[in-house]
Amino acid sequence: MNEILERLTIYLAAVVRYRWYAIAVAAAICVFGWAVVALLPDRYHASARIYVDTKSVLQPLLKGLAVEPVLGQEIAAMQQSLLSRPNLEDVAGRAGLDLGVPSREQREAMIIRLRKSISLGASGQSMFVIDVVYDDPGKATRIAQALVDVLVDSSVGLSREDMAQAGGFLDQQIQQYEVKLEVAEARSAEFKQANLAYLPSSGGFQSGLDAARQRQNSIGSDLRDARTERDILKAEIAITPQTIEPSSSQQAGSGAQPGNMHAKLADLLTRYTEKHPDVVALRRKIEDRERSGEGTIETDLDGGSRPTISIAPYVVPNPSFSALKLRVIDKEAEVAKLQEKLRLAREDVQELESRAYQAPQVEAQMAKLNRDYDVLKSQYEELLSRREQARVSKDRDESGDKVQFRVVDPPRVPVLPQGPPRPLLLMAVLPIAIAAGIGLAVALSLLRPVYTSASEVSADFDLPVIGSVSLIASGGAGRRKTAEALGMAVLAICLLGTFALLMVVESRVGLGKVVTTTFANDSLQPSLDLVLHGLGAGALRVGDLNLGVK
Amino acid sequence: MKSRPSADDQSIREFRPEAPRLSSIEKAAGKLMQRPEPHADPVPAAPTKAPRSLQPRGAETHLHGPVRVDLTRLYAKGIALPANSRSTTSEEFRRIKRSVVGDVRSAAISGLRSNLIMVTSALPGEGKTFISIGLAMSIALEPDYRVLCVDGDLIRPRLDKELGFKASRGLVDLLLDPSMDIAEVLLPTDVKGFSILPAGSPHPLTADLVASNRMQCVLNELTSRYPDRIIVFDTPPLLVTSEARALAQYMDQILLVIAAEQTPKQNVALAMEQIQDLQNVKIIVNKTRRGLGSPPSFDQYYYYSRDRPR
Repeated sequence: MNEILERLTIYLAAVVRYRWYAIAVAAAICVFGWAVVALLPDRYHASARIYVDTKSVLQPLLKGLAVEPVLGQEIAAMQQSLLSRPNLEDVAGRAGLDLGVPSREQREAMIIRLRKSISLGASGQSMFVIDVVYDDPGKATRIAQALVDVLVDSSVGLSREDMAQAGGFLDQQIQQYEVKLEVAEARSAEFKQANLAYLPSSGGFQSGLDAARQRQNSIGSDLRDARTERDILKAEIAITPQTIEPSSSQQAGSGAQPGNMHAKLADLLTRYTEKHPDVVALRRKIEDRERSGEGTIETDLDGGSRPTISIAPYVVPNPSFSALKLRVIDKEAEVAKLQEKLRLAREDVQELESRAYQAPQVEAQMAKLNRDYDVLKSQYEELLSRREQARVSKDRDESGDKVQFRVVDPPRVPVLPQGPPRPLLLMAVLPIAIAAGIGLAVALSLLRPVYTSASEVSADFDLPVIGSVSLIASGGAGRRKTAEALGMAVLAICLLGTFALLMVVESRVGLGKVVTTTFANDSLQPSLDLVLHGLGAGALRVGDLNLGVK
Repeated sequence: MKSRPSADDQSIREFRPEAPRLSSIEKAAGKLMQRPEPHADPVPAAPTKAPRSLQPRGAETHLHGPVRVDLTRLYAKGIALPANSRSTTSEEFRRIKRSVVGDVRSAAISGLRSNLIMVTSALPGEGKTFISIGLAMSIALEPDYRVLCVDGDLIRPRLDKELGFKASRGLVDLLLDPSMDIAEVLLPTDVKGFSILPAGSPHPLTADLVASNRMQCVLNELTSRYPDRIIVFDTPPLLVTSEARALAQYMDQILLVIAAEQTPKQNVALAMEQIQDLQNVKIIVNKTRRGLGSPPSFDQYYYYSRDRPR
């Protein structure tokens, strides 16, 4: 802590020692600084706000098909394109900046300055802001207006161009999709051809298999039935004599009757079993007949050795027998037919079963092909509808109803300058000057270092410091000090007075205005009038003050 | 003219006016004036004449009467003070004196001599003369010692102007004429215990004179005659001439005066180089300002205390 205090004492002593240098520097910086602040050109600010129609026609068209650009990116892109060299030259021309700018370097400088004075920004979701800062209010306004015009001009063409682009995009997409659709259809057809066998017309493979099996079963049962009938018939034939005597009509009749009865029995037997009452009754009847007959019915079929009383009968073929035989033949044929059918049915079933393993895969693939195709088709239809929509909107747009940019705030001529902040700058000069003064004093003391106290000396040398004698002020020194203090006070008052005057003039009139009037009229009189008018005093002639200026 | 007070006045510092015309001095001294001594007759110019009054200490042979020292001027400068008063400056000188006299004392105990004090500095204007006079005045207050203030700055002698007297002959003449006796040029003053040896007539070769054997003899004589006499030499600045360096080799104590906030450090370093091989160099810092962290001065301490006699 003590060292700090000692250091401070040393610096303080330095400042006091070099006080006149410090004051001179501070005063110089004050004057120079205030002059610079007064001479800074006023900055006027003109701005325009433009509403961007983000619900532009493009967006709904391209929704889901293309990426929507973000407003910020659009602004950046716009900044790049709007502030390009040709655009800036255009703006400069419109704003009348290039009047009186003959040489190329000057033009360059002017364009660069123009570029620096423009700034584009976004405010909120859909507002563009154009800011122009220039030292002349009229020029600033004209520049802003020129920018707005350029923007609006370019934007009209922009939307149409975008439209065309969108339309082209859609057409392109539609073509691609058509091609894809064709390819898909072809593939689907190919597949169907290749796998036709696997694909029954309806119901799927499994149901086909079931139907085949069912068919097989029914044929099988039919065959069984047919066989059974055949067997019965055969059995019947076995007991039916081949021939019969043609007896009297009775015989014939009876003979016929047994024959008929046998035929009837055979008939019954095709329909009923042995246990059927009709069948039983008929058999009894037949037995009775045979027993009651002359026994002439015993045939060789019995194989018996019954002695027959053969009279040398007259035999005729049994009609029932031949009828039965015919029937048997029919049945046999039927059986054969059914057998053949069964065989075919069985083959069918077997083949289907052998394919059962592959069938699901094929079916799945077919389903996928169908699905792809459906998707393509739906997208294609979507594209078609959008293209139609685009056509409609394009026609609408060309009629001039929909505008993409709308100027919300047109640029106005600013009355008051926006900057520079003169009071602030004026005030800032003071501490800078003071700091510079102190800094100079300290720097000088460092350039020419001296000892300030006994402790400093003893720090530097090993020799003992046996005492320190304080400074004794003599009478003359006192007077000198007073004179010095007076001089410094006067200087300080002068400086502060100047500062106050500048601040007042700035707040009432505006230093920029004063300076410009002086330079414009090349004399102090008008600016003096201005100042005094602003201060509320009456007019004062320059001649009265005898300033010695024109 | 009587030059020495009586023994019982030793404890009190006296200023004795020579004549009633010095009543202005009386007024300036105020109530602190002591009873005036009767006028003394001028001493005849016989070196071997014994002094009129016997002193407890060794008597000085004076050919001249005591020189009137312009005390008002010294008061104004702050070097001298009315008796019975103390000030910051007097305390500061007292502190310096303590160290110097302490060395003299301890040297004397060991049988060595340390009475020759040289006050010099690096550059002119640092306050050598001021310090020499102040120190000499302070030593003159010592009861055990007396002081001889020699104006060793033969190029620009200041002592006579500062103290307010006119002197014609001094050290230069002493050096030039080997046969001259010291008493011829030694000047007592009306300040008790304080004598002066002025510089003398200007001479171009003072640097060589000072380095000669004659100087050595003179110094030996000065110190041997009175062992209780401390001799304070006011010399030229070290960096301006070579005389100071030449003188320094004869000195027992060298006091280097550094003026605060005035002399650049490198000059001090240069001066230090010149005398660093010599022994018993001490530093005095002059013209210091009171800083933020320095202890309170005597005035602050004393004048604001309640016990001060008003």
